[in-house]
Amino acid sequence: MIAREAVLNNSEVVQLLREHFVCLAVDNADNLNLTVADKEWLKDRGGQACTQGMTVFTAGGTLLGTGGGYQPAPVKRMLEESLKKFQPETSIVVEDTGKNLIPRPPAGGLVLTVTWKVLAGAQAESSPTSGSGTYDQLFLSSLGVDRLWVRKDEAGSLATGQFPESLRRRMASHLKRVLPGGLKDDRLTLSAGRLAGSCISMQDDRAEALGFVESRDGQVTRFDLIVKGLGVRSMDHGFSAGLTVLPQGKKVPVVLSFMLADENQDISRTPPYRVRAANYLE
Amino acid sequence: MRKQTLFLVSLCLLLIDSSVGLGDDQTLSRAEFDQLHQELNLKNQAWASLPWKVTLTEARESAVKNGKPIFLVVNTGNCLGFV
Repeated sequence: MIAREAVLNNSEVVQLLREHFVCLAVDNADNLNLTVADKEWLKDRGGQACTQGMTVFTAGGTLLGTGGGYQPAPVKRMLEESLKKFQPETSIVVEDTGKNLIPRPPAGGLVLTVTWKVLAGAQAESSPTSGSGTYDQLFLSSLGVDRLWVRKDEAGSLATGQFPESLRRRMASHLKRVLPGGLKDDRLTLSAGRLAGSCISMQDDRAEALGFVESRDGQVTRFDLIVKGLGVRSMDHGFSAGLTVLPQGKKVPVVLSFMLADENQDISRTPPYRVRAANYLE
Repeated sequence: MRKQTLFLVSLCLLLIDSSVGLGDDQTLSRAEFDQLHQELNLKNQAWASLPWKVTLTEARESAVKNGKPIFLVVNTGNCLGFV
């Protein structure tokens, strides 16, 4: 998360990557977008990095640079030096190491991008995850990201103005970021394309939601929902982004969104964290 | 009198310092929705605008086709998603 915020949002790094590189991100723990063959192929090309790492290599497998970390300057240097070494490979045959084994969004369904952040004005309280103070502000202003998959039948229901229970249940796991202790009561209603209402937490805190659902020819063309509630400190190695550095014992305004992802972008195929659960789509 | 004032100020500070709940009258306005929509939209994050590939095979195929090297980010968790 720190690398994404500190390095991959740096304008010089972004420009270099956009113009000269094909970008790939993998998970070295649960490997949702890696097959066994992928892991083997990446073994000596950065795939075994502990916690976080960055490398550059050719399609044929020639390693050009290694690095990583949380500062943009060394990464920029690694990219520039790798480019100097790079020789395009024209005769490489790329074997398929299992791209069809990677979980894909349900056919005919939707992908929603889930994001959340702490509202401005909150104070940070450092934790070992934030470098005991070094990255507090980066965490506090960061945007947490996940995905949510919507089944074809659920998308169809949305297109006809209904908000299916199964989708509500799947969304509930994300709502915990703005509802301390989790969701107790969901009072969201979808009427005339307007999705609005309150959600009540297990601790009887309230979150307010406003959103819009639009469709055309039976297809959902817009799904935007924003929920504003309260967040509490979350110690999960930084996975909860800004919630990592919230002051202990306090409830702080946090906002959460669900937005329809662009189906034409590869990044929209990044699997949701919870897709690991066998019953995720139930 | 001064003790009373100090007590009231301390009480106010204590209340401010404790949980900041959403008041009964605090709903999400359309203007606030529009502002938050910008802040929360992944499309406004520079990293999300990059030409990411989701699988190794697709990244290698794209690298050959476009004559580019591959930049790999490895994380505990997926850097493009929940991490």
